[in-house]
Amino acid sequence: MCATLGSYLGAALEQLYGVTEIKFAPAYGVRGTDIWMRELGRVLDREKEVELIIERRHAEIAPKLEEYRSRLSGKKAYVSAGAAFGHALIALLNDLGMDVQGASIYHHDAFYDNKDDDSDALANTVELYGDIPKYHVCNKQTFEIVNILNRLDVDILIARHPGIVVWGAKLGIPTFIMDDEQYAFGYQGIINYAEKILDTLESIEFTKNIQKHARMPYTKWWLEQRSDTFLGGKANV
Amino acid sequence: MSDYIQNPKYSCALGAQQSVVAIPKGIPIVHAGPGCSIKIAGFLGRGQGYAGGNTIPCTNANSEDVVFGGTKKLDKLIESTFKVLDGDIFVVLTGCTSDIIGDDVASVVKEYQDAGKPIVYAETGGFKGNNYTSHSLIVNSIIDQYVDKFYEKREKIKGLVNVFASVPDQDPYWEGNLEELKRILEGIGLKANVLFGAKSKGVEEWKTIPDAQFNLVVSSWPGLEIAQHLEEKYNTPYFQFPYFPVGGEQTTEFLNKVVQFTGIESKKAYVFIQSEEDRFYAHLEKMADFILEFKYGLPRKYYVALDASYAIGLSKFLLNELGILPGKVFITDNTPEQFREAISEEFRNISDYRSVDVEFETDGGIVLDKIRADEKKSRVIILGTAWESSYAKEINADFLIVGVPLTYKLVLNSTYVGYNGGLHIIEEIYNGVLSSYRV
Repeated sequence: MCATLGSYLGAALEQLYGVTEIKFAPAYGVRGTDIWMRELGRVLDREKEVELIIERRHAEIAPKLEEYRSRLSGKKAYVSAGAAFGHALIALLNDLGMDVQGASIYHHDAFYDNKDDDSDALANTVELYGDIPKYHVCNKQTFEIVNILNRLDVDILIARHPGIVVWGAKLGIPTFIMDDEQYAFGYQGIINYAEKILDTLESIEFTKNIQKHARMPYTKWWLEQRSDTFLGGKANV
Repeated sequence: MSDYIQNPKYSCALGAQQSVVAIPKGIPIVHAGPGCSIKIAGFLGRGQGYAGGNTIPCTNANSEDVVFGGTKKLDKLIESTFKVLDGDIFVVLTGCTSDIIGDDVASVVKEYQDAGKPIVYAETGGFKGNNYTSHSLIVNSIIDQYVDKFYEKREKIKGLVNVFASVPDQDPYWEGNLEELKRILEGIGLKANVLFGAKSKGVEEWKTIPDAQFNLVVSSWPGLEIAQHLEEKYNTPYFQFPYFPVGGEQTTEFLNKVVQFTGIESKKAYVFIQSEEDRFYAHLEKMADFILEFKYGLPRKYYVALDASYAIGLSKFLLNELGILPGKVFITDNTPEQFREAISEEFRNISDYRSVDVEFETDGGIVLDKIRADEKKSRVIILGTAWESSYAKEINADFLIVGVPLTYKLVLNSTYVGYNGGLHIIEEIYNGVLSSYRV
């Protein structure tokens, strides 16, 4: 469940009706899925069965995962997504051995509907995978995203919302939109994403052609500024 | 190597009949067996136009003519044709029977030529080749036996070029393609003779062929013989661009090379080219959102089964400007051996990032078998002819008919060539995709 959009409902169901809310980030990435599955097992009192599933699924995806990891190892990614989704995706990319160069996350939630620290997806991700460089909170402001991407050396841009993808292409960065949240879910999701990333990297001709011929509306002045120039006094980047 | 061809994609040599029909007020006079002419008109043509199809005079040569010779019949036919039909140029074409028995068509026609009639002949017995090859033959025949009569050695007309590109009707988009080529060549400052179709001025234009400063061959090989012949006969230099340029990158490359070759005033030419590019890429830039964000599936891989002139440009365009990856490409025009290496080389360099192993295969059945056997992990698009239609439907592939037989498409003057052609193809491909999602 998308923690951003579903958290209010989840918290309400637990507080009012005692329906347990799984307070961990959704099951993205190998370790993320393991943790989520184990929590599910605990809540449903099926811990032993869940361990068997985890073992089986690990074995099943191992060959493809190995192959994809070797092909994606060290590839530099930049993510633009909502909070829960973005954090989860960063986790997944780390699992594929990719190097997350930075992220533009649409919003940051310091306060959770269920008042539980376990829901701090960002903290979870950082704990599991280490700090995320150049973490940037920005609600789809393409002028900021372009400013940032213009300086970074990035192999792929993964964007969650329509309207961002074309800016990656204009900068010559292979980009895709991940519009289907279920696509990344679970063990199969890791494989799906690896294949999608490899597919996107393959159609390099299209990206380079757009970069060659597209027009950039941002002024030279703007592209030389810090991306947080317009955030005002309280900016803490 | 099979001894028959499944799903033929071109006609026998007599198919050059359609090239004659394409000349404004051009009229073929066919000396062949009954049915040949009308079958060709049915396969290649799309309506009689001025005097094509049913209206074409024919000797309907039968067994008697085979035994006793058909020249008397032909003579009578020609005489009557002049009385009944109003044409500017008459081209006598022979079919298989006449060429096998060796009717002396030349002497029959010569009498009318000597009397000043606008009539020529060409021996286009079906077995001699296909309409790609006979197209050059009839053009050269008209030049040698008619145009040359009006030729006087004089200064070439500066900036005038003859364009040899589409084979009329063999290329279903020939009208629009020639229109676009004429538009962009005139945009850079040349004057273009397209010789066929609505944008041509008919025989008056043909008469200026020897006066052109240059000849342009825009094709992989059909038409090359015409330019070579004109170079020998009238010392006209020629430039060949080896395929139909499609879209921004290729059309700009084509025009830049023409500017370089012809030495015309380049500043004005580059202003035109830049403005065309700006327009083309403004559209493609807007399209990029759709191509990158459409969530329900766009074609990811293409299969091409077309003649060389189309296959090269379209394959490059789909890969480099639309991001659709090459599956398999088949050249189906029975390319003469001497041109195959250069065509293969184009595919080896299809982009900066990959190569394609193009295959020359005339048998449409074998082409389909090979496409069928290829692994398809995602949505595909097929560029071919009506023969590929039911297979495309079977596998829910996107599908674009580019060659004959046309059958499921109506084409007036739309084009697949040049800047306008690139824009048009984009609309056709993605409208096809979107309509597959229509409820």
